[in-house]
Amino acid sequence: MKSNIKRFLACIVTLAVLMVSTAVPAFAADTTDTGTGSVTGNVTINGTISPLTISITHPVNVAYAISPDAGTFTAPDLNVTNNTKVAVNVTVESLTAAPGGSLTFTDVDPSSNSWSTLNLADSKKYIALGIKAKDSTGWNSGYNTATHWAVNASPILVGSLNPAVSGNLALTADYGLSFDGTCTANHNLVFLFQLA
Amino acid sequence: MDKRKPKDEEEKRRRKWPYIMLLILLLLLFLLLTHSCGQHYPGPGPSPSSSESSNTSPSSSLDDSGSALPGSSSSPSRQEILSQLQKQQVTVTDKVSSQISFPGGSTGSTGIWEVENQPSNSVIMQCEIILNGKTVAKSVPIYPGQHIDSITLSQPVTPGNYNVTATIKYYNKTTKAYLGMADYGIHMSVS
Repeated sequence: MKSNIKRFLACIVTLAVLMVSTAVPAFAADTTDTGTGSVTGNVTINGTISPLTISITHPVNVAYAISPDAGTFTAPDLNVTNNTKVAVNVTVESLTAAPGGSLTFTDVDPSSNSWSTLNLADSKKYIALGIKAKDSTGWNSGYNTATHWAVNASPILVGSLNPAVSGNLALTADYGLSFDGTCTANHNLVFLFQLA
Repeated sequence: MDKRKPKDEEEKRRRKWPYIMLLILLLLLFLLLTHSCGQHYPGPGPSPSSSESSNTSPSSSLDDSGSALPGSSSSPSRQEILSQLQKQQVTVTDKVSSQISFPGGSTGSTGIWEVENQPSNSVIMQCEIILNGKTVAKSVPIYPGQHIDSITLSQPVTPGNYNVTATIKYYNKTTKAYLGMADYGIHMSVS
């Protein structure tokens, strides 16, 4: 009877030792490489990369003024600042005449009219409004120096801005001078920003 | 009889005297009035010549009340106009995650995407995801100091990877009027 109890206890101890000895490698590593000479071990590294946040500071609206007596077109610069960690491409997606003012211009090519001799009706009807990079300041090399005229529907890539860098764009226009009252007119400008 | 006659004549002269005085007074008054109407020009303007005043009736003469501004007229300078236009310009700072990921492509599937409207902004933002010219998801309005971290598909999208346009529309915080928009080129994955 005593010998049976001893055998039973010995079995339990043996099982316990076996369980411990088999369990420890499972916690310590995935594989055990054995062999003679040089031994190669493969380690898998899993990385998780979060998407980058694009951050841009830009104007939402732009106002301009035409002074027929002085023959001047005045508009503030459009300052775009890249707050992103990497360079960002700045594209003028569209620039189009929009309703909402006392008159709605028709966008035309600057060479389509003799602007200084435009009569009252045509002065109130036509404008050639364009946008371009004001100067090279801030823009990476290869930036576009051409003017994007509102009459052209296709988007134009202006250039790219490095992190924490600002670039200026400027409006330009050809217009008539015959206005018999204060008029207001709207245009919609849409930028497209994307990682360079 | 002879003595009575001179008395009657004297009596007649006495009676006429007040009428003569009245006539003289009226004549003087008339002269005074005509004189004052022809020569009274208040204000700093030059007085017309006597020939002009005699030919011009009072109703057609200059109403010279009030005074104009001295010197030539001056319109605002270009710098003043520019300063005014700069005040009207609204600038915003956008923070947009460059990837949006949906666990499924069915309508109502909620994807992970972060957009922040910074507290310094003065506009309300609302985002749309445009795929092939069609809006497939639209966010709630995001007020300054708020953000979103998810967006829901309003159209079914076949699982895959896409280059999409995230359009942010900007609205006036007070009037809720539309101000403008900007596009962001981002990546969209649908599992």
